[in-house]
Amino acid sequence: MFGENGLTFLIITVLIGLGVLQGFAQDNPIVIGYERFHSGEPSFEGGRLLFNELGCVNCHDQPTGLPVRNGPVLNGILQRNQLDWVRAFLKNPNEKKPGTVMPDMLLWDREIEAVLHFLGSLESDGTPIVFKFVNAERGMALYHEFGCVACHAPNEQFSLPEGRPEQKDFTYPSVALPKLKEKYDIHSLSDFLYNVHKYRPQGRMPQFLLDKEDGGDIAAYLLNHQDGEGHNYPRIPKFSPDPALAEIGRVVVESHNCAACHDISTIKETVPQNYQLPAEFRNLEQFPRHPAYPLSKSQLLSLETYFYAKKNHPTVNANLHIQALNCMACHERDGIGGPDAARQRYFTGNRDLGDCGRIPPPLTGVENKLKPSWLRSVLQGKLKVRPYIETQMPVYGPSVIGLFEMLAGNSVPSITHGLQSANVEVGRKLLGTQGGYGCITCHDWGKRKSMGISGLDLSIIPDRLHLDWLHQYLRNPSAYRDHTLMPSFWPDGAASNKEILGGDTESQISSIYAFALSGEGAPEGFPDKNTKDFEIVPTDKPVVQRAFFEGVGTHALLVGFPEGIHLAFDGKSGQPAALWKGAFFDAYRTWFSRFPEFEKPLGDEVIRWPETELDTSAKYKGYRLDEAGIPEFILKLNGAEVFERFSPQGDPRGRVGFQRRIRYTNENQLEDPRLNHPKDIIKYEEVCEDPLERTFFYQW
Amino acid sequence: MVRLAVACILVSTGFVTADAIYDRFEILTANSKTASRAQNWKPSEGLVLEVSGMTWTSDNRLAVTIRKGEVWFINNVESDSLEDIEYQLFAQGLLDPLGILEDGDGFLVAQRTELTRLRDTNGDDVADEYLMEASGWNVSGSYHGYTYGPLRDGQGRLWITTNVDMGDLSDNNAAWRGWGLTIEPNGNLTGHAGGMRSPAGLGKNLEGDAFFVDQQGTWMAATPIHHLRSGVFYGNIEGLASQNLPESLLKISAEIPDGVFWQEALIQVPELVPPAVWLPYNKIGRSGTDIQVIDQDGAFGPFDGQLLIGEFSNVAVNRVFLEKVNDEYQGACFQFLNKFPSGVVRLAFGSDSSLYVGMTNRGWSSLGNRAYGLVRVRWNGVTPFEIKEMWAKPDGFELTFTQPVDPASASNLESYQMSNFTYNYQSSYGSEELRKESNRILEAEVSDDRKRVRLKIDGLRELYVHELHVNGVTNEKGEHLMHPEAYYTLNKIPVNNNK
Repeated sequence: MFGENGLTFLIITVLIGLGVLQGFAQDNPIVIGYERFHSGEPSFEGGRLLFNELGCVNCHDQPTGLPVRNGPVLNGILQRNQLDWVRAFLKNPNEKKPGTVMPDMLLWDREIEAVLHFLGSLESDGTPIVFKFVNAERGMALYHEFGCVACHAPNEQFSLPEGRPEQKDFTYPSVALPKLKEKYDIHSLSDFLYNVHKYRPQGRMPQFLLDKEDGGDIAAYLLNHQDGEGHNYPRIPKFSPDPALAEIGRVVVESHNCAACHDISTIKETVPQNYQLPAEFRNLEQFPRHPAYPLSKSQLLSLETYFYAKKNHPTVNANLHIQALNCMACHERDGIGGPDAARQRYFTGNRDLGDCGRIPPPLTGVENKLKPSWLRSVLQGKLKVRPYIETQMPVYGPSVIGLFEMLAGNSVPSITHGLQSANVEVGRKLLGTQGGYGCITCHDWGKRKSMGISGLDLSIIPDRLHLDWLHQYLRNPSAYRDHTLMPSFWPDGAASNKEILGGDTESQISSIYAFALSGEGAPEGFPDKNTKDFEIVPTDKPVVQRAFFEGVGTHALLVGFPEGIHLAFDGKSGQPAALWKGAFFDAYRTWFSRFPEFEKPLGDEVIRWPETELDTSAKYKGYRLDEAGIPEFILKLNGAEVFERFSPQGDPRGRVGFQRRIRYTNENQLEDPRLNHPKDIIKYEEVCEDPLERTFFYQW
Repeated sequence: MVRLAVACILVSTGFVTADAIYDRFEILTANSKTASRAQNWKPSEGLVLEVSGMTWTSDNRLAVTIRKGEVWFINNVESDSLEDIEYQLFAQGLLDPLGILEDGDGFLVAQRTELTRLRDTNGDDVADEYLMEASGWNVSGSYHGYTYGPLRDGQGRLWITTNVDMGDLSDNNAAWRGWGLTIEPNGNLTGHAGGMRSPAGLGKNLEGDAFFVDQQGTWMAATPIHHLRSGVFYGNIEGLASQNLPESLLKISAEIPDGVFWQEALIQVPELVPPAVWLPYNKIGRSGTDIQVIDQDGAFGPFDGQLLIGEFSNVAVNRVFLEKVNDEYQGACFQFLNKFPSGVVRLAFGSDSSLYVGMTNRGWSSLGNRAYGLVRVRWNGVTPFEIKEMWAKPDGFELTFTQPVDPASASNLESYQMSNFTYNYQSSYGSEELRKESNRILEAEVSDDRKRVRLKIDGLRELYVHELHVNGVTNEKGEHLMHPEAYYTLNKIPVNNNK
């Protein structure tokens, strides 16, 4: 539009005018990809990135090959943003929003007022959600977990298990947030969070996949609202524009070419030729004025480098594209980028998987790794294969299509490996635990959970991965990710399992791929959790087994009797805790799983002792088995031992219950503070000859 | 004729594997990766020898704890005939027993929630007393809240170590997660040292000093071998709340940094101690599991006094040489035996001077393709050509070899390459090898008996791991070293040659 001379003039204007005025202050427009990867040395690529990201290219015809970057849609802007804030922003964008890429349009106050009336005349559809309840504390957690802090600054109040990072560990600036309370109300801010691409279709802010309450909670956090009834929050007052002023504003907006960067529904393409401004605006006839950016020295030099290189249609590489979209806030590629040490701390997930369980994967070679269809879905935020990473892969708007095309176009997956030597059944074996590599020890398979840590789902390998990449990866997983927990089963290309397919690496890896591709069932060795395979059935003797037990705790001692009645005794407090009938328990979790979850009775008619304050005067000391294998628990009470035993006993009518026998060793213990009985139980005390012994009979 | 030709090739290329020197005998190994994982396996069926603890008993048999929660005696385990070997169930119903020690007329077993004394009082060779010897460390129910040990050190102290909690239900602020504890005869606990992460194996050297091996992970740059003692901090902050308990002998006096070089962290935190030896990730192993000193008076080869370290992921046994410099242990690690059929978890010597290697694969991943097992390793009397020891010197290192070296190759500076690196001390998982620099070999002087080489080396750095590759040195037959790499953790450069 302005041609080269215009641009030169612009640069010189900015250089002489604003650059000096602002000094080389830190409040220059922040393009993270530039600050991180290009600010050291002025370069053509750095200049190109800025030229695109600052919107220069939107007016100046020197294509960058990078995705379009625009500002927000202006329709309805004053329904979403406070009038005073927009006014102040137009007056001095960088003061109101430090680091903004919106240039100062050098408008006069009277012009700004007219522009506001014009903006006020632009309506937008949609009614923001009114929240019944918002939870700012939860919002704060979500803000830090979802990955907002990959680009925006974390809150100093937010505590991390390992402590907050030090300031020095932040090696690049964050995208500053304005004082949001001055700009939004909770309804409009949450509406924005739910509909980022509606308001900024060509912006850089991605859309996070928010559940129903998430947006309101995050907005409440950002606005520092206390929890409470959402509809009581103040709303942006309705602004009634003056039609005459609005018309003047329209001219100002048109003449400044705001529509180059903003969607404005009613704007015309060009400035009306014969339009006469009202008298008080006459001195504004010198259109257009230039936008001004408070550029840093490095930014200026880079822009100059780019501009004077005069490469009109330079090819662009995927890396610059990725930097423009700031993918590198979360991902590393070719050894650079990814969150710095400070921001890494906010990436949470499954610690059992090490850093791979919380930090998004590298993008190194992603074009040769992922199949185009999968890559497209990932970029559109439709698929998530690493559910253990808390940070979300957000959805990017239309700007990501170019990246996809570029990556897919760059993709030159070699086809040195094929499936000719593959054997589907062998693949099933190799993935399994029955003589294979035991992949399912750590990896899920479709809906089946792995047997240990929940590594990513292997059943979708062929949907995601090029076969060649898999071949390359499996031969040396550490080459792809330094700290992967994934072992090398084919170190230096030699299969560690020689028994299958003669240890032929090529055929083994292809077979794994082929099996996943076949969709024929699961790898060998998934246990069936539901068949009670691990039920313990006491046959001739009682069985004593320690376990974690629901309602009893981690010190539970379970005693199962062949008579079909069973006891849970608390090996911490030294108290009986539960009785039940029927089947004893299924020890799957205790004996098989790496995660011994809490077991529960397999039978029914469960009777529990009332939960009482733990009496610390008694202490569990162990148990002895008698000739019949029945345990007698040893407790210590008032400095001396007490023995307690449960054994099955029939009543006169032939029903089986428990005899509970307590043997004291001195008279002081007879006032036994810990002695109590379950409710809902039939209880008899039997007469004992020994005065230090008490015997109860329980029936239920 | 053909066989002879093959033999010639092997000798001429100097290719002798450890397998040819340390004979393996599979005593009970699941013949597939399943067994304990089979869909239709029933608890009542057979012995699933997922070894979790091992000790040789005074009546000459091997006592083994298995993950299912049982203790077994294995009689005649030294026999070469599987038919002679008998299995006897001694105790059952335990929860994750991870170690066993004979004590008096019974056995002490570390379970998750308590140290239990098992006794047979009626002479039927089956335990009938399960006495609570000690408890009191919190067990939240999180999946990684293990208890390891017990170990009795040379001073008679009884040690256990505890894992920090991980995953759901974790409560590392509760008592004694990630600590080294001793247990008094009355069962009272003393918290000697904190900052452990997953201290999976304990052992002692010939002097009776106790050591433990931890795991790479949060705050742990790689696998460390630490000297177990009082009042020190091993680096992992997750369970440090217990230093406020009255029984804690550790009080940390400084703020703990995150993301600084180890050297810097040691300056900032006086109680923090460096490992005696780092086992660099992947180069030596990924997950150390047990420590067993070689105390066989030469009957297990020429390495007496050194420590063997079990290695899970890489199904191996590594070797550690220690010396004392400035009264603190430091030393070097070497690869030793590898390619076991399943994840190596426990090591014990029998009275036949065989090393018993106990294994399990379940729940974690290893290079092994068997579910579990027990393998006996016996030295066949042939001395392997290895670096035997690596001593720090004020201006370099002294290597000793198990066989006389070829002087020409051993005095050639090109035969050696050395570099050194350090780690970050940080909350995130593991650490890269950082600040890597190469060292110049200035001199290599071969001793008169040709079993020692004195290396003078430029650029030694304290608290850096010095990685040595001895690719050029051969023995008199022209054979190369079986394991030419050594990794020395140079916490301190000695001031004089005698130390």
